[in-house]
Amino acid sequence: MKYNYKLILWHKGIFSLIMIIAGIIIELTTKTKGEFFGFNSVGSYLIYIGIIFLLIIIAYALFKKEKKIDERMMMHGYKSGKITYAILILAAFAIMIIDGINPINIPIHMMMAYLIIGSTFVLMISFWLMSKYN
Amino acid sequence: MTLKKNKLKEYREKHNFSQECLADKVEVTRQTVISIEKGKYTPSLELALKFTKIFKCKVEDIFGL
Repeated sequence: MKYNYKLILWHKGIFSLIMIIAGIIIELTTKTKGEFFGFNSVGSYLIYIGIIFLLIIIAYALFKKEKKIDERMMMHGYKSGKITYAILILAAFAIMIIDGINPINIPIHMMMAYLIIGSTFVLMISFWLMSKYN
Repeated sequence: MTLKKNKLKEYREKHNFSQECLADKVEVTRQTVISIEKGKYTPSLELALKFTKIFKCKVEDIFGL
């Protein structure tokens, strides 16, 4: 099975354009603007993220070589996703218990950052291990 | 589930194909061919049929339970 690389890039490009357009609309229509993740407003945040995303996609399309992805790799991706999900549930349970013993005080943006980095790390490690030993 | 009968290596060597060459023909990576030969990975029906097309044989000639 061939992995349609260009089609995925197109989908990502369309998604980033939608983010930019949504950002412009929100920026123009919202009257009350509050601080959002270090930006002046939600609109400017969306525009910024959309542009960064679009630049990454353009760089991918221009410089990255096409990678062969077959059914075995897809299966490993699916399995590592399942492992990551299971680990997330276990971690949530463990955090709940720890919080019961000793309350954890952490800002929401820090928690989200830990969550995203942690899950990405677990996904990468589980995929690497599966590719190596299967 | 692992296959008890797996003659992919035999067929590949009989047809003088390298792992890389066979992988290119069936549009998978070399690691996938290695995994199938070692019995670590069970190929999909689509991939098994691609092998039979190349080796001009039946699926049960190469793989079996």
